[in-house]
Amino acid sequence: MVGATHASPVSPVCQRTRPNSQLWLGVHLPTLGLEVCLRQLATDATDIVAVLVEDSRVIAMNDVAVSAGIMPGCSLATAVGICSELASFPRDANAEETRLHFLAEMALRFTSHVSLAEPDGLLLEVGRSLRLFGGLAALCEEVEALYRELGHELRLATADTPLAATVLARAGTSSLQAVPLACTHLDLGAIERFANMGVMRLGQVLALPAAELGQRFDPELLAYLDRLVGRVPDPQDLLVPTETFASVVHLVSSVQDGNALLFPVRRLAGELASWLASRRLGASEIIWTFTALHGEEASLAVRFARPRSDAGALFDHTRLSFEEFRPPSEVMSVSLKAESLRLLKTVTRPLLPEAPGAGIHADSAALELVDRLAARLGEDALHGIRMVDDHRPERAWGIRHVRQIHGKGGRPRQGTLPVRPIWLLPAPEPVRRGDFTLLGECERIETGWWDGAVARDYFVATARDGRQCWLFREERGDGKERWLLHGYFA
Amino acid sequence: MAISPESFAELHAVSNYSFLRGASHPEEIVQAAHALGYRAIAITDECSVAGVVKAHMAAQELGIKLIVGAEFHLETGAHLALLAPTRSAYGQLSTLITRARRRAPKGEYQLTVDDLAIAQECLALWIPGTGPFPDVLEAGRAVQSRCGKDLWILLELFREQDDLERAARALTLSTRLGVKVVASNGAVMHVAERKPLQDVLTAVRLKSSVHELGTGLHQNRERHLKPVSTLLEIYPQEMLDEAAAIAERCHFSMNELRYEYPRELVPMGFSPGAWLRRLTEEGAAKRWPDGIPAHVQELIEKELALIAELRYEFFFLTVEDIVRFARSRNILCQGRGSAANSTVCYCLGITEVDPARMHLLFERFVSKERNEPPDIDVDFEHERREEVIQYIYAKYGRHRAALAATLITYRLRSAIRDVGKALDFDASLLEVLAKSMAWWDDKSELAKRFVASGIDPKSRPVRQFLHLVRAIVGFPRHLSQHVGGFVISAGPLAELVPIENAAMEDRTVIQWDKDDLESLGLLKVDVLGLGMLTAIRKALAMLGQPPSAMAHIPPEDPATYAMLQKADSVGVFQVESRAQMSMLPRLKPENYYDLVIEVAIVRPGPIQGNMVHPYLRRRRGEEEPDYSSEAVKKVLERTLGIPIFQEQVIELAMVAAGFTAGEADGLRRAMAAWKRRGGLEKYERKLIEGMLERGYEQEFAERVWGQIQGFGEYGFPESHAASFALLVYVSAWLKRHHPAVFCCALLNSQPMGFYTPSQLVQDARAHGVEVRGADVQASGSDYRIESGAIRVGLRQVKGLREEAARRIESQQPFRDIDDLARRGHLEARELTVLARAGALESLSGHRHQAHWDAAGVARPTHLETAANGKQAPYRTEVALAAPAVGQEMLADYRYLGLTLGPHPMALLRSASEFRGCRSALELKDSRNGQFIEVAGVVTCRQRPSGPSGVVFMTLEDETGNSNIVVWNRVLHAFRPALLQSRLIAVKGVVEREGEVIHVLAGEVRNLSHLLAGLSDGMVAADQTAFRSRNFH
Repeated sequence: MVGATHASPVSPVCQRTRPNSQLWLGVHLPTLGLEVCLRQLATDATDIVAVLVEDSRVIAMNDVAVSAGIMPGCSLATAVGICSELASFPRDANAEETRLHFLAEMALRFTSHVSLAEPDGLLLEVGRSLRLFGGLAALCEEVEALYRELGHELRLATADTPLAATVLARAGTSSLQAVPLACTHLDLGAIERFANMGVMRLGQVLALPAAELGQRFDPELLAYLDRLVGRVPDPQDLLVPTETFASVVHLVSSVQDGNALLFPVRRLAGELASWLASRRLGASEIIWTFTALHGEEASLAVRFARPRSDAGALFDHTRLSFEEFRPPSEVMSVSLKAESLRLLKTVTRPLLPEAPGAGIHADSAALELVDRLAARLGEDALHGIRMVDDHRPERAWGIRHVRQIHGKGGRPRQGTLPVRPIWLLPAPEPVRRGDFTLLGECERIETGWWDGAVARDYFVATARDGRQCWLFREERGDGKERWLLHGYFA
Repeated sequence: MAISPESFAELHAVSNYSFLRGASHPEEIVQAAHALGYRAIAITDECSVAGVVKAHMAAQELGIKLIVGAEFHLETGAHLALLAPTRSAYGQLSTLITRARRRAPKGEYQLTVDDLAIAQECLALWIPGTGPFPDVLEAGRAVQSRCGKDLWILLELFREQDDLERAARALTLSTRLGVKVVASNGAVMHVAERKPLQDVLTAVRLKSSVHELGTGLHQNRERHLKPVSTLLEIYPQEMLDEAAAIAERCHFSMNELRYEYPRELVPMGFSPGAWLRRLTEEGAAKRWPDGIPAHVQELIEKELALIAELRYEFFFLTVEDIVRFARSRNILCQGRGSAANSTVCYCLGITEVDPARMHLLFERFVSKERNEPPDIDVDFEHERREEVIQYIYAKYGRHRAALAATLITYRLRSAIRDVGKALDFDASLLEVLAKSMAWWDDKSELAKRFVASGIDPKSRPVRQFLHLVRAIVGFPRHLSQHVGGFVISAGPLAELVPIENAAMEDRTVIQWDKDDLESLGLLKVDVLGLGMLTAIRKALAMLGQPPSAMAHIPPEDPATYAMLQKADSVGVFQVESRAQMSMLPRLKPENYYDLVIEVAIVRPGPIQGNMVHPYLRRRRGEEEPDYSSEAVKKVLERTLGIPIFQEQVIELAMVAAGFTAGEADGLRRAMAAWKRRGGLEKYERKLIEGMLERGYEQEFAERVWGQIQGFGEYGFPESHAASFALLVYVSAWLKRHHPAVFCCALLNSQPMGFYTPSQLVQDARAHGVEVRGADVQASGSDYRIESGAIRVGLRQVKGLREEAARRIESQQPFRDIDDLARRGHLEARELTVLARAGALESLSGHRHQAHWDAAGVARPTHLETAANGKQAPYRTEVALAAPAVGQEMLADYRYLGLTLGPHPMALLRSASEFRGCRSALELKDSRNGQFIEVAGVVTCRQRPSGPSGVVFMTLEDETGNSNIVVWNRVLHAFRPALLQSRLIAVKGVVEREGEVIHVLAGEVRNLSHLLAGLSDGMVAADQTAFRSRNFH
């Protein structure tokens, strides 16, 4: 909504007092929350009325919403009353945090000293980057261009201390004196108490005698003011870039034989395993790249059902995948990359060995099998059957990709499972009633009025050939009934 | 197999009083059972008989036997239904329900198998579980050992996969336990077509949606009442015959329930009639100390005879006892209602309306022909009603006194929300739909709403949604407590009706609402709270008078009526609303009976019946009253031939449309229940045809019908208006002759009435009353009179507890802020709220400094408190700048709720935005049709329901109020401004009728930002200081 505001590098309050002084660039992203939500939309969101909602109140909105007359802080109900076509997004703090991390990593191109000013700001120490980027103005232009390209509004400000840079960027001013207290890090209670005293801006607070302030406010307030103006140092947590593993083995001579490649593969797998272990990480996918003499390349991705870190598993699954894989001839180098890494959960082993097939072992055994089959047959060949909680037989199960069948299942919530045939036909087939002998009572299923109504009387029956099958009777449109075969028990 | 349709009775059916489970009204179940030729029908709601009265009324009409019962899930998981074969078994059932409900939180119950022993005489139907057989057998034995010999196994087959297994199990258990098996539909709905609704109710109950619930829903639609021929395909004949045989054993009818009044009200040696006569004569001697006039004595005799004939003595004695208690505690009260307007009630002190003087006739209100139960509501001071309630509990005990229930049912708005959620509709779409209820009856507009939301209104989900919403409206959701309707009995009340816990702690409610009580002819006493009585008592006390002085206010004071005729009625009971204010100058009340009409005429009944203008025309002599017959003249003469009161309409139905007394009573009851349950339609044709036959004009007949529907919206009878009119007069007299005291009393009785303290204070100042600000050095906890002026009480300080205010009052005056904190025992938070409200200015100078000083008060330790007076005086080096006038004003509004400084409009008027705007005072001199612009703070925004879409607004400026009317077209064009602004300018045309002036809005500007500007950057939250009263 508001363009980038450049504050002059030095504000009167924060004189450069130390010889080795730093210069902090504060980046404020005023509409990050809404921008994060709008990224989800497939279309260009310039003409929709979009509001961000937290606790049923509108906390941010786009320009279209502003011109529609919606005001910040109004209830969602009021907003809907003003514009019934609005798109409302619940605030997603997690997504904002993830995005902020991403944006922070992007800033590493400007300086190695990047830190987060949560929830919607970044801090860049740019003192040592100025020369490289041709001065502050040029640097600011690049920062602005980068984030605009990524779809974000922003405001910039510079100052000697990180806190000052942040509050100036939030306030969109170059004078620390003029910064409204609402733009500082003071909690709402303190801001309100100052407001009660007619104290609205930082300048007024800084003019009050510290001793009397200390009597009336938390001691943290004075410490905060000291860090703000640089009377005490304010070390920042530097952003540590997300790590990935990449390693290459260059072969002394080209290798023709696939099996011979297993040797460097085993070595890289071992390297990765110890690298992962030291970081308590596991890889859920690793990518091998084999480069041939003339630059020809082939890649092999190996995936795991759960993150792995042990050399044995990393190597075994790669070997199995190798059987389906044609490496180029005359391989000169093998590289291994592991990018999708997860923090390993500590597994508490049971004290006594459990019976095979029980608990955690059974689960990891099943996952192990899935990995092995997938490695041999390919990911797409594996499917699982999953139960779905529905009375209608054709909807009571579903095929899912093998990787999705674990976790919470869709078992019916009522105690016992109903008796159902093992083989359900893809679609019920019309049959003649006379060809079957009905066994037992009917089971009536009449439900699904909301997305596909059925009204059927099911029977277990014997066919002429002696096979046990599952029939049902239903009414046709003309009021007559018809019989259909839905499955076989054996 | 012989099919005999007579051979079945349904013994296990739940209605929608098994909340969010049963999908049919009790009446529907009874009607369906009758249509299917069942011999009898049992309603067995879960631990409840809340629906049986409705079922009983329907069964009586159709002539089918109703069996009263209830079903229970025991703590052990066992499931059974109990039926009441006799009156004493019913008492046991009711006691059992009471026990189960009283030990659980509201809406739940807890029952152990041992509890069943108290319902020995009930017939028990046990539904075996599906667990391991030995466990089930054990459970059966446990039930059997408590229930005695009258136990059956209830078999319910729903064409599910385990039917055979269940049937086999029932038979095995039957052999093992030696009891018979009986068949049932296990109905949760009367017809299979209710299944979607039943699914939706399940989803609402489980806070889920039909998509998510899957097998949590029943797999088919079998749980309904089925034809006997179908049942014969499922069950053997003897299981059906057994049901009929059980039904044969049930003889209890709800008609047997008789209410017995508490006997302790009549001393030994007196009959109730003789005791009532004695009390009446004692009262009469006090009312007429110089001797009872002959015509009064005659009235008393006539009334006592009527009361004796209808056997209402105990009812009058019960009310008299409660009122006597109130009087003994100086609690002001006033009765109203049909029986209240009697000479007997006047003598008993139940009401202060002297019926002889006011020309009101008891017979007009209580008539033996009309078969209405007597109606006396007693209003008490709202702050002290609890004392009266506690007296009733203490006198009769909780086992003999309880509040009637109020049934909370689905309204359109809640139906839209719940059905929508159950169908997984998007939350913001539901918000739109719930907001646009006015469109609900306009199908094309509703369709447009859906289209605008990108949804096809003809699609299946939308059609299902609309159908289900309409079906669920009127369904009961839960029982709540009636505002004050007490049922008091001679014996344990729980043997008459189950008692359960209300949401409020220490409150209990019975399972029937007032319609049920009326259907059964049971009486209740309404103990209600009324703020105006509190205010009148406080005003009288300030004038040095006891509550009883209300009776001695000089009657028919011309100055009081002159004030009311000018619509100068802020704070006056009932006639202070905007609609009443515009009626006063037109009706120009000049005596008590005019006030009775004034109170009753601004109501939906007369308005929807288009009776207001004809009445006013006749009153002004522009039209002659005409009566089609002597009978009609008798009914309508006192209102110039125009029916105004509910009683007149009922009487008109009798004399002009040929209704019998019974039919008229039915009409009255249908009117009262129409909004909740419908059922008024069947009287429409009868009334209109009856009137046409008797030579009335079609147009008049239709107007009377419209009025009946209006009374259904909000019934208002003359008998209530008569009592209210007395309070109108008394409060108006106080306002006219003691404006400061009256305003002070109103302020000390908040919250009550239509106006905020700010508006009341402004009105008092407009009448020349001086008002002084809240000040820790001078204010009491309450408002008080200080040499003729009103001193704002510390109760007005938002967030200050009453004890703190009283401590301050008792320790005044204070040396400085430290002294205040120490001797007033005030915490930092309390000092802050005082500083915010400006109550520390006499110590600190202004608000900013007060906050600084309050924050700097040293926290006293216990030692220091002991060594009181030794500490050094408070000191600070800091002198903060004073707040601007606008800031002071905003803080006044926000933390005190009123300002004595300038009105915001006075501060802003010179701004260019207001060039050309007229003040509220100038508006008074405008011509009809004149083009004008006014501006002010929005104090009231009202949007009456109905498709018209009109919005009424009240704007306040430094000179008074302006009334704005916004029509739909303008509303659409200026929607955001109209819905959100706190400060607004409106251009429009003056519509003037005598003293009544409106501005019809044409163009609107939202100027709220100027209010924010006044605060010069104060925190945004300050804008909430100007919250208008919004009604949607």
